[in-house]
Amino acid sequence: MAQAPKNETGGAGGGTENDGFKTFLVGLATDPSQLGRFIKDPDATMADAGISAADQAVLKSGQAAAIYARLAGQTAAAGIAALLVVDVTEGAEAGSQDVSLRAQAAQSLFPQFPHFPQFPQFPQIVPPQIVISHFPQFPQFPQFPQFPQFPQIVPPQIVTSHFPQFPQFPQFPQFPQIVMPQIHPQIVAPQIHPQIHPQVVAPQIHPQPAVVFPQIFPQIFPLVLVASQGFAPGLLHFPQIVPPQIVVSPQIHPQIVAPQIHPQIVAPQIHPQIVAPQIHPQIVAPQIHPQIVAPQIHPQFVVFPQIFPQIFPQVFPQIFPWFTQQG
Amino acid sequence: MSETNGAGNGAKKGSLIVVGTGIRTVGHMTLEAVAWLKQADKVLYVVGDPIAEAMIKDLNPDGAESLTPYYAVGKPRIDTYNEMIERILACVREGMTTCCACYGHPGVFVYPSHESVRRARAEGYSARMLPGISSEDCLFADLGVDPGINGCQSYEATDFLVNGRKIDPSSSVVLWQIGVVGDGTFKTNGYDLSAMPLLIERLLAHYPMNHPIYLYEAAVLPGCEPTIIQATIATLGQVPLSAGFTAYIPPGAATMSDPTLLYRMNALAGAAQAQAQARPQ
Repeated sequence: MAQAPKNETGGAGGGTENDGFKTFLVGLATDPSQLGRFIKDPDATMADAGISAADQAVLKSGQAAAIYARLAGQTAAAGIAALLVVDVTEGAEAGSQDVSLRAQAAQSLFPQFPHFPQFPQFPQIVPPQIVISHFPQFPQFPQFPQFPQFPQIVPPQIVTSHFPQFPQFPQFPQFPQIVMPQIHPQIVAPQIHPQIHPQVVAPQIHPQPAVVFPQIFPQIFPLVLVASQGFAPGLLHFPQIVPPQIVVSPQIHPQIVAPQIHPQIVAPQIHPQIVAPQIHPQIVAPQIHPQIVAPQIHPQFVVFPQIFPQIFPQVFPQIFPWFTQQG
Repeated sequence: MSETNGAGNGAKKGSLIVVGTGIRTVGHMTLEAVAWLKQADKVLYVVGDPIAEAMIKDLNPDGAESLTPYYAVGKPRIDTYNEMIERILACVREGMTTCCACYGHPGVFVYPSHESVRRARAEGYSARMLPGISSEDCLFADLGVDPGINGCQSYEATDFLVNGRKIDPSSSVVLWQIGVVGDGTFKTNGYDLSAMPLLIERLLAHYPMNHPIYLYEAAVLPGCEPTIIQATIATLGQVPLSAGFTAYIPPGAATMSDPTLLYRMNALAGAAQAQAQARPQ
């Protein structure tokens, strides 16, 4: 195993651009095979790379301050002291001892490197949010009051008074691609895609329509049938009961609610790519939308208040004609 | 100079790719990030360790340019970030394949990267961001925290304090930049933490005084271990902090499920099953 010569700058290198120590670390960062060898056998890898014993001791010390100082160009003479440790172990023969010598960084000296101006610790690169006057170029700040308006955009669309819009049946084929994400909002792409391609959200959802229909329609039609049996089993003798129930189904249809609720739809409509992700990532959609949208996503939450007010007043008079007759 | 932006859609010449160098450069660099650093006409970087800087200069000696000179002591960081954005976009507008390299994940708590991508796209240039390893990723690994168990709320400390973010004590909470809370400027030697008592006051509204809080700083250099300091909410102000610290607060309350909702879920599941059985064959 070749032992590389020490650097001329005191054994610890001078921290220059051609520094072998730094070059070695850069190689570890960019060459997976070299990193693998280093993980498996660091001593041999460093020795093969020509790293001096002092530098090896610094790297193995686990002392960030020492490594920083070394990378910043400070030499061993300038403060990175390497201790020579003598290891005495029992030899192969009885009574004999094996003596080995190794270098180790003197850890107690490292606190003398409190900070290194050339590599200051940068805070996370997010703008400070305490001084709003520093954000004159961000018009969304005065728009904070808009956030409470988010619920106002969605709920009015599930109010029963809007149901007279149902004659829009022909629009159903346009909706399916939006429905699937409501079923598994946390799994589907909505939180990711808008950040990557906010403007192309819809095309990303298109492959899902084929799955949506079989999921939705079976839920609608049999649901009403089962409900009628449950509510009034004896009334199944009246064949006229069923048609009105089928008429109800469009009111239950999640696709009506879907485009109004879905985060992918809401977010781009409000601030497609101007507000949320780009200006204040920590303030925007990912934090706000899940709280607002989550209860709206689940179709069952939304459907219930829609179904009951609609089903009962409409179905019962038809199911129980004698009630009205008796009444 | 690149002839196209790689999109092949007739967009403007010049493009932007944003990559992350990870927290610990040795081991966190992705192959894709290395490839872009090599191929870019211009590499503008903000990194926090000398290995990353040396690596970028090694990969792209002609195009590497540090953005750290835009930092200045006492200068509002937002001004620095806006100047970085303008520099990045200037390179894109010149028609260069521009690579912006940030430490950690380039899209996590990095305002200039997101804003650069948005503006570049708005101006018709191809712009894309690649993921990296953030300090929160390191935190989850080093502290053994699974954010999926109790949920995890993640806030920037100053944002949490000033903007009235709500805490759910039954979930984990991560407070970023707790070492610079209340200080919107850049400093090389200690930040003004006079707002720390206010943060403690906010936390005490949700947690008992002796509730543990873990102050975490990921290992940046190879061979080093992460810094993990256990304190309590009450003693938070006594811990020496630097800009690299992130606070992790474990759940302080039991998870409470909603029996009504559970009942409704089961009812819906039963209804769906009944629908399937009632469906005509």
